[in-house]
Amino acid sequence: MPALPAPLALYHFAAIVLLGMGIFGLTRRKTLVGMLISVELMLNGAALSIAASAGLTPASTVLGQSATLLVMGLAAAEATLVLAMIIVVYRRFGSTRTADLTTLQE
Amino acid sequence: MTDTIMEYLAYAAYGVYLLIIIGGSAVAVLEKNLVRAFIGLIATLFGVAGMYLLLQSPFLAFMQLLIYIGAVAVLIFFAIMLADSRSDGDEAGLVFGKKFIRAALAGLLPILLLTPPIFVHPASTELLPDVVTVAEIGKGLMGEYVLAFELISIILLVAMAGGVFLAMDRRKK
Amino acid sequence: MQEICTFFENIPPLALDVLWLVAVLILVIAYITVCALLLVYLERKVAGFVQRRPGPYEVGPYGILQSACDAVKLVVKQIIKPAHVDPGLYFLAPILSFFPVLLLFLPLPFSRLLTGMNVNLGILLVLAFSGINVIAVLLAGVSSNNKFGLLGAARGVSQSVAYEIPLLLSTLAIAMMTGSLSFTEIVEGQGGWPWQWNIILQPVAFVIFIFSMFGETNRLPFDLPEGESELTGGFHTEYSGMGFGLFFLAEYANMVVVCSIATALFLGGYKGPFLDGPWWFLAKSWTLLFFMLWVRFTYPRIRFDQMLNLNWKWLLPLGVLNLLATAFAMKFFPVVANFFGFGGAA
Repeated sequence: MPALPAPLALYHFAAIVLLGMGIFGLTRRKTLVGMLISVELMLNGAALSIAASAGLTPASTVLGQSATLLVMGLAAAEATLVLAMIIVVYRRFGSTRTADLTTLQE
Repeated sequence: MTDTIMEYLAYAAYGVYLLIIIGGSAVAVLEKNLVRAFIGLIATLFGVAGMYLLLQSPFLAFMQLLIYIGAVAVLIFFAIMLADSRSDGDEAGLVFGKKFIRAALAGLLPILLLTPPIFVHPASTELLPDVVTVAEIGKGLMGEYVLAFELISIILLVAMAGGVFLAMDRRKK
Repeated sequence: MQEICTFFENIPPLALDVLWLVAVLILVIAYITVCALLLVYLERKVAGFVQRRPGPYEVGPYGILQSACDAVKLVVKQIIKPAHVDPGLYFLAPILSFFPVLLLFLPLPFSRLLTGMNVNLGILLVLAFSGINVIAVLLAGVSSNNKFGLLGAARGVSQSVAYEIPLLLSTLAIAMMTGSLSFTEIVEGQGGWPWQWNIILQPVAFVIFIFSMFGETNRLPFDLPEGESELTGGFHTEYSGMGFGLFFLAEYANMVVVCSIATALFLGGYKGPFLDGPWWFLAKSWTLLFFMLWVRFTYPRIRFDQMLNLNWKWLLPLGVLNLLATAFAMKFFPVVANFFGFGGAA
């Protein structure tokens, strides 16, 4: 398959775009599920950055690709737990909008 | 001659994948309907898988598809369904109000701060990505990095057990 | 003639690759269409004979042209968009269901040279793109805005996600034994005669794979997502004409892919006692397809919780135990592997 003979910066740029979009979504979304989607975007950006950095520098590529696999596994574990928390929150509060989830100022 | 054609093809592929990533993540963070945001997330995941293909690692690309689209996306969809958060325009509201500007600033800041350094002071790179076979990754995971491998298995086990325990219906009647 | 030869020699290899891929895609679409037509006809005929009635016999001799007429009817039907569906997702779902299936045919070894794309990671490719069908079913159910559709989609997703795991575990046992994830190498590791096939060394994996085959393709007795007698149609209730046709086509193509994988992994692929070639591959996979059709009209539909119990409480532990046993056997009995001609990764 064609390889991209380009500086590492292009891959890092894609990862930074994902990070920025993820932060934007995380701060803007009003529901827990929307925030989960944004967090998944950020994790993807991080994994892409790790894989690109390991493949295009003298660093060990096996280490980078193993690290990317670990990040994917962590993202799956984290999505599982966030889903469980969303279910518990929905049972307790009746909605998943972050505006409704306040017990400090009743 | 074929080399430059391959180069142009690779750049074109990079451009296409970057467009898919930007478009998909824009839909994922801006859409009011959560199911459409979910579709945007799936498009972004496809784009990132394409980037892994450009890095000469089809293993990572297929694992990305298998793990993210096969499992994590389904989880998120069940979250959307179970928590009843797809109706009545919950994300509607001040579209261009103060919150939007604050969020846009928060999102743009890392991009603006981090992009110039990577282009002005690039790390020392090789031109073509290293090709690593699955056998080498397997030997690495079982040899040098076996601790990380075992730890991730424990993390996944604990996450599964914790998820089941949290969401269990505890009816003590 | 000389000019034609030199013309083909002067094409740069990149263009040859592209031409080959285009030719492969056209062949795959043709094969899927032929298979779907044959399968529709065979299914109705087998149903008829199992239920002691003749099946379709009016259109053409023995009803052979029945499926062609059905196909024409599906294609010329008006594409209706119901008013209450989500338009983008409604049309995206059948497309998302059908197009990954084309990619699934690429790594299959029809013969030693006749493989679409000899990927080193054939098994991983197949597993990855089978996961996209899950998303398509979800989208179809959700965009329908229909309670039957939603229930069918939820059931379908739980079932597909659940049965992917024993599928993975049984193919992993074969991959561990052979030491490669590529279909061509797995077939090369087997011999021509039936006692040299992988099924002798991995019978438990074969049984698990057969169960997962039915679970993954939503075929009876596991066809709750489209439970025709309970849910009016499950996730494709709101689809008619070409949309329904695409789902149908995708389901039959999935059946063909899964049976082809079973022959490549367990039944020796294109190898036979006397003449290796695609005819053996086709014969074996169509035998498995006929078996799937046969089972459909023999067993009653299984209940949803029974189906999930079967997967999580029986197939998954069996798959893991099989993997453990394979690992032990490979480490401590390499003599057995060498006797059967498997170099593998012992």
